[in-house]
Amino acid sequence: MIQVVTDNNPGYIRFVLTPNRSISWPILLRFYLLTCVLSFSIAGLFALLGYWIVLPFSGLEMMALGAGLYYTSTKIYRQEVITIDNDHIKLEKGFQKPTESWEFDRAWVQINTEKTGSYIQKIKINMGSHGNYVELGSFLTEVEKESLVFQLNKGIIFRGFMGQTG
Amino acid sequence: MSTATTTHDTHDDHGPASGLMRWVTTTNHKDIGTLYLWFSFIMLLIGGSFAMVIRAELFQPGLQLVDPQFFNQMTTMHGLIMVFGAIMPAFVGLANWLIPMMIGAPDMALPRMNNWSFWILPFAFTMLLSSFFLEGGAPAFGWTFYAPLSTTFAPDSTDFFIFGVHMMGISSVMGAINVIATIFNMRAPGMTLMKMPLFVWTWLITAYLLIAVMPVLAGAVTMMLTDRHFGTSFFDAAGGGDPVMFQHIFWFFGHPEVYIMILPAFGIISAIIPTFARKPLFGYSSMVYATASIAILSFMVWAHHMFTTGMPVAGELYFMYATIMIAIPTGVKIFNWVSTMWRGSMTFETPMLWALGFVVMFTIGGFSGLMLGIAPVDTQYHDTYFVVAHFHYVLVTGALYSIIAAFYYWVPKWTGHMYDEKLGKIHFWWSTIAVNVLFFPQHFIGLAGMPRRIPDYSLQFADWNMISSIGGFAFGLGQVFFLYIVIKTIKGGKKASDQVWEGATGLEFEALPSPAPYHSFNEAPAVK
Repeated sequence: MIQVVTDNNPGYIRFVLTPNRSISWPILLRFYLLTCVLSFSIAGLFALLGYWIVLPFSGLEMMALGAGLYYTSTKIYRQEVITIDNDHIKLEKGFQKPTESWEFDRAWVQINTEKTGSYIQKIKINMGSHGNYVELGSFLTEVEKESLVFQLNKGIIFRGFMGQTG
Repeated sequence: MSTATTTHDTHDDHGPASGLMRWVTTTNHKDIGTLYLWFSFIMLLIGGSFAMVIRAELFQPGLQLVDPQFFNQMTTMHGLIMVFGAIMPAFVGLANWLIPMMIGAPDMALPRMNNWSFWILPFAFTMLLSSFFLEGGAPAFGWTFYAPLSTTFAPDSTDFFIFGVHMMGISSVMGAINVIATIFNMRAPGMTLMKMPLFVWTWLITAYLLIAVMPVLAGAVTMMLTDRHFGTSFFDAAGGGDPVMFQHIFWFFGHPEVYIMILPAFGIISAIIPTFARKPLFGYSSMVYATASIAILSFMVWAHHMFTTGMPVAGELYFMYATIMIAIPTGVKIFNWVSTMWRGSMTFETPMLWALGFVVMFTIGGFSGLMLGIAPVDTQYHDTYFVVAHFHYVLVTGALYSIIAAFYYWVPKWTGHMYDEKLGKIHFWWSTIAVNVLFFPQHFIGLAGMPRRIPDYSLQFADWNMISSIGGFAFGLGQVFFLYIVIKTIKGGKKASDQVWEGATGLEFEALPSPAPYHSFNEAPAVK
């Protein structure tokens, strides 16, 4: 998904890229807690009757379920934020907070698309300058990628032009 | 200002790797689905061959072919292999193949874990089957492994069984986590929960059941292990334990397990009947709520398996009424399927025949289940062949029939080839006649008092046992014929269209070609 944020500064534009996600984290968390309550209630009942060995298995299983759900959430809650201002383009990638960031001189930045020949990811978008390129939106669909390239070019050139003249 | 968009061509992967390692290292949901389905077929044939030994021995009264200890090993291993090796992995295989395609996801959420959860299974079952060659032979205490038969009086090979069950449990839990993570996180935009195909819904609920009850099974077999080797007395009355409590623990796992083996079948039938009736499924929401109700009730009825162990009348009444209550949501399903067919433009291709066979014969199994749920009369039916007839109507003409129906329904989408319709119909009619010859007489001999799990019996049961055995051999032969149909379809056949069936709906039929590409849905499909 591509979200475009603009403000009063005509030279400023921000693209927020996120993968498709079909559930929100709070709902997923509620589901997980409900499952924990059910699982530990069953195990706790057996433990009260003296059959406590069920309990560690419930614990292990809930840890595995939690890890599985958390891991998949880290993948679908990834974000890439591209901020374009009058002189610079900043790219930040991360989960919950930016963990990697790059800054490019707006005047020199290039957007490359690469046909990979892969069935999984047909097009790769790279952004950068002077031989230093970073892949953008690997999780986007092909249609979204084409749209991103179009919007980025428009954002860099057109809004830049507006910024200089406005 | 110098922005430019340049395009370069590079080449990465085009499809599956070649050779054996493709199957060992694959993380593709279709490959793993195929592995599960082949594994379950092999287990069906192995478990079926054990059933043939059982029916051969019971062909006549007296001890003919095997000694009683080996007969008990056969009944035990038949049950374990069919439940944990054939039916459950077949449904997991179908889930792997179908869930991503049905919800518009490119693959399962945790593909590497998916690979592990399959590859644990061959080792688990090799370990279980190797117990035949150990001193004391394979486990002979029934698939329910009641203590103290499985503790104090069990052979040393029981430790292999315990380890094998742990491995199967780990595999099932990993599969369930994957299904939950996939369905929750990876639905295509627009695919809301109440738009999901019922197969996906039933699998989501099944996965939840698996998550809830697998620790109980793991705890039960671990307590067996500690009772056997570490001086504990969980199930040993002499040490202050309670052998009846084993049955409570086992059936707290075991009854939801029954629904784990049948809920996905409901999803399959709910996909097939609307296609061949050319009408949308009647009462979609009520089907979802009925499935959830069955799952919830499945936790509350376990002691109906234990009426004869002795329990207070209040307990008997509670478990009886709770059990009978399951007939309500199950009835909703049956009526919805029938209502879907009502005034539909029905045609009777092979998948529809198997689905109709399911509806009719699963209902027979359901009704005999109701009879068994009535506490006062269960005292008479308990541990007789009536119980054997009941659960085989549920698991063979229920679960297995739905799996076979699913194969015929989706195999054109998987392989791009139509199966041979004539052979499919022969397979259905042969199997349906045989399965009724096999299991229906078991109601009669059960009501007449023949106990289950015995290699010899009174002369009065001889005729029906002989008929039942003939039905058994015929049904077994029918499934070898099915193997031929499967191989023939994979190797070739009439080309299937993308929609495959005139009335088929769903992303797998409407948004993917036949055969489905190795990687599907690089683009999120549009869901209306």
